[in-house]
Amino acid sequence: MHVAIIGNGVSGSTAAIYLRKTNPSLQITLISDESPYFFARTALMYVYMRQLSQQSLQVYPPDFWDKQAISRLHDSVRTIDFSAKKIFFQPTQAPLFYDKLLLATGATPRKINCDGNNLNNIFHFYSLQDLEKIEKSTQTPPQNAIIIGGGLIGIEVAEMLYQRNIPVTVLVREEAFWANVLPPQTALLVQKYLQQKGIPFKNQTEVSAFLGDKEGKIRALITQKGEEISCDWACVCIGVRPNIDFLRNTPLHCDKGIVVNDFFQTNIPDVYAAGDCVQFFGTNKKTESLWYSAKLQGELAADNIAAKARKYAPPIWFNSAKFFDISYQTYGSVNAKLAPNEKEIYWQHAHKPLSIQLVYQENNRQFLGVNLIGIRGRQAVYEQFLREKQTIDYVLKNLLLAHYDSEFSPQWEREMQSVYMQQNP
Amino acid sequence: MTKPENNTVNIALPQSFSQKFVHSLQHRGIVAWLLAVVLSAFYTCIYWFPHYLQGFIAWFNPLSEYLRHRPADNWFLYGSLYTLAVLVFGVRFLIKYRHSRYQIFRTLSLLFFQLIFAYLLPAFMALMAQPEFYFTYFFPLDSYVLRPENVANLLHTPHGTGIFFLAISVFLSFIATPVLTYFFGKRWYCSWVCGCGALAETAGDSFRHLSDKSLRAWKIERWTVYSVLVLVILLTLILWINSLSGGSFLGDFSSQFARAYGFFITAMFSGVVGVGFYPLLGSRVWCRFGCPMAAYLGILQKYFSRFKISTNAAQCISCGLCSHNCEMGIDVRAYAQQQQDIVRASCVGCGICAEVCPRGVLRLENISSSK
Repeated sequence: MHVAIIGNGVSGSTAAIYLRKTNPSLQITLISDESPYFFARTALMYVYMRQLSQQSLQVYPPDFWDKQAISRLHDSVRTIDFSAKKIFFQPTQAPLFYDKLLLATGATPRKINCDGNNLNNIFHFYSLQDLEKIEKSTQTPPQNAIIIGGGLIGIEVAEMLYQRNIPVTVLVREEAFWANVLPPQTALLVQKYLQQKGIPFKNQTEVSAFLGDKEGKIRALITQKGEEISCDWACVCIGVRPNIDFLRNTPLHCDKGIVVNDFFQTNIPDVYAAGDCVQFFGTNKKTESLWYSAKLQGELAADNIAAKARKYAPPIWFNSAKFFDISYQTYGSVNAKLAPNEKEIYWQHAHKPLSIQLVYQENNRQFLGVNLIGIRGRQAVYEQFLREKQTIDYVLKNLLLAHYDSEFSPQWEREMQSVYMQQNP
Repeated sequence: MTKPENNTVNIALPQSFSQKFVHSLQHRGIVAWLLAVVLSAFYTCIYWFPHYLQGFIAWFNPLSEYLRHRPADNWFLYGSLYTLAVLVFGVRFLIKYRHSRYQIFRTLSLLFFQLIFAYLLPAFMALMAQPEFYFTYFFPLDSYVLRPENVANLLHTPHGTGIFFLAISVFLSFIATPVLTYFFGKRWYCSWVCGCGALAETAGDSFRHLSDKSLRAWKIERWTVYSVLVLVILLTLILWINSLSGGSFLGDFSSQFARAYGFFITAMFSGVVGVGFYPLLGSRVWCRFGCPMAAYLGILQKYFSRFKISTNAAQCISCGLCSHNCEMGIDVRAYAQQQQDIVRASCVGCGICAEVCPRGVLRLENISSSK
C-alpha cells in the first residue's frame, strides 16, 4: 500500500514516522514544495538571529529519512484527481498514484485586504522562503520597519530585527499586545516591558491601505483612523488560514479548512487530513494552528490511516511562547475577559515581568486554568489539577508541586500563596 | 525521486568585519584554525620544549616569587595563564547568563575551586615545603596519586601531612564520588569543581556548539572514554604488582606503560588536543572522549544516580537550540520531542540546554520518582 502525505511539516512528518513505526512494509511518500526535509518552523527566527545554523533546523539527521524508507518528493502539487487517486505536479513530472492520502498542507499567512497589499517590501513570516526574503531585504537595514499584528509571530519578527539593531514599530489592533488572548493586566505587563526595551507599540491601530513609491515599493501606510505612517519595510503578522486554495473546486469538502471527522477522515474515502489545514466537522471550533496540536493530530491520523481507529479528543489546552526574554505558559482555559461565573487570583511582581493568574469557577471553586508570565510550570501537575477538577484552594495549597523554574530560582508560587492568604484569611 | 535541494539564500551570513571574525572563530574558519595551531603549539612547548618559553616564563617570576618564594617555571606559567583564562572568561560567562542562579552559583564554584584549590593552595604548599597536592584532582583523573612511588613519598612526609593527603584522595575517589554522584549526578564534579570543566565552561563557551552530535560520535565516545578508564586502572594495578613483586613483574614494562600513558593520554589527549582543539572540536573533547574520571562518574550517573534532565510533557517545539548548545554532543532534542527524560552517562549537567530552551521544557533534577 502506498500512503502519500502532502506537507512535510510537523503533522505530515509525525504521521510518516508513526506510520513507519507501526507498518514496516508500507510505502510512504512525503511531499513538500517548501523544503526537502522536515524542519522546525518554530526555530526559523533563531537562524536569522544567528543562534542556530540553517542545517540544525533539520529535526532529524539527514540520513534519517532514507533509513526509515520514507521517500521525499520536493515538488509543488498542482491538483489531485481524487477518483483516480492521482496527484499531479508540473507537466514534466509524472503523476503520483496513492492508495491512501493524508493532506497536511498546513497554513498560509493571512493578507490584509486593502489597497497596496502587493507592494514590494511587504512580507510575511511563515515559511523558509519568507525567511529568505526577510534576510535579503534587511541586509541593507530598512529605516522604518513596521510590524502589523500584535501576536506571537509579530513579536518574533520584532525580536529578530531588534537583535540586528533595526528600529521597529509594532501596530496592534487591540488595546495592548496580544490582548485578544492575554487578560488586560498581563497584556499591559508584557507590552510595557517590551516598550522599555525599546520597541514602540501603536495600539488600536489597523491598516486601511499601503502606499507605494514609483518603483512599487512601500513608502507608507494609512491607518483606519486616517493617520499616515511612513515606512520602507513591513511585515504582516495577523495570523494564518488553512493552506487549501489548490483544493477548492474539487469534490473535497472544505469550509474554513478541510472538514474532517474525529477520525481525520474527509468526505472522500481514503483521504485524510490533519494539522493546521483541518476543521473538525460539526464543531464551530476555529481551526487550531498550533505546533502541539498539529503534532498530536499527525500521530493520531497515522493510526487511523493504518486502520487503527483512534478518536481525536483535544487534550487539556496548553500553550507556551516567548516574548523576547519573557516566557509565557498557559494550561487549561483562561479567557482574555473572565466569564460572569469566573473569578481569578492574580499576582504580579512589583517591577519584574512576572505574573501568575489562576482562574476558577465561582460557585464550586473548580480550578479552570493558569497563565504564567516569566515563570515555568510543570505541565503534568497542572494537567492533573485540571483533570481531577481540583478546587482553587487545593491548587494553591499544592502550587509548589508545579514549580518548574531551574534550581535555585525563587519560588514565586509562594508569593501567589500569600496573595491568596490575604484574600482568604 | 527526490528533487535537488533548491535553497539559495544563505541566511544570517556575517556582514561586518567583526561579525566575519567571530563567525570564522566559531565556525571552524581560518581564525579558528589559527587559534587551534597557536594553542596546540603552546601546549607542545609547555610539555616538551619549555626552553622556547623562557622569556615568557620570566615575566611570571615576580608573581612566583611573591606566592612561592621561588622563580617561575613552565608549570607555574601554565597554571597562571589557565587560572587567568578561567577568571576572565568566567566573568564573561557570568554576565552572559546573569539571569540564571544555577549558572551563577555553578560558575562561581568553578572559579573558586580553580583559583583556590588548583592555584593558590598548591603555591602556598610549595611555600610551606609540603608535597605538591591538588584536592580537586584525584584518581582516576589523577593517574599519579595512587602510584606506589607517590604513595611511598606521601607516607614519609614529615608531620604526616602526606598521609592526610592520601587519605583525603582515597576518600574523594571511592566514597565522596559515588555518594555525591548518587544525589546530584556527575555535574557536582564536572560542572562545579573540575578545572578542566572550569576552562571548558568559561573559555570554551564560545565553542560548545562544535561538538559532534552524530550517532557515530557517540559510539566512538563510548569506546574511547571507557578504554582510557580501563587503561588507567590497568596501569595502576601493574605498577603495584611490579612494585610489590620487587620489580620482577614484566621487567620495565610498567614504567614504559606509565610513560606512554603520560605522553598519549595526559599530555596529547587532555592537553594538546583537549584544549588546543577547542576551536575545531568543541570545548569538552577531553571530557567526552578521554577523561577517565568522566567515565567513572558517567557509569555512576547512568546506573546509580537520581539526576536526570526532565522534559516538561509535550512542550517541546523541536527548535534544536538544546542540541545545538550541548557541549557533550547529546542530541537533547531527540529526547525532548519524544517527551523522554534525558539520562545520559556523558551529561555534565551544565544546564545550558535548559537555559536556552525557548519554552522552558528542560529542567535539571535530582528526583528519582516521576514527580
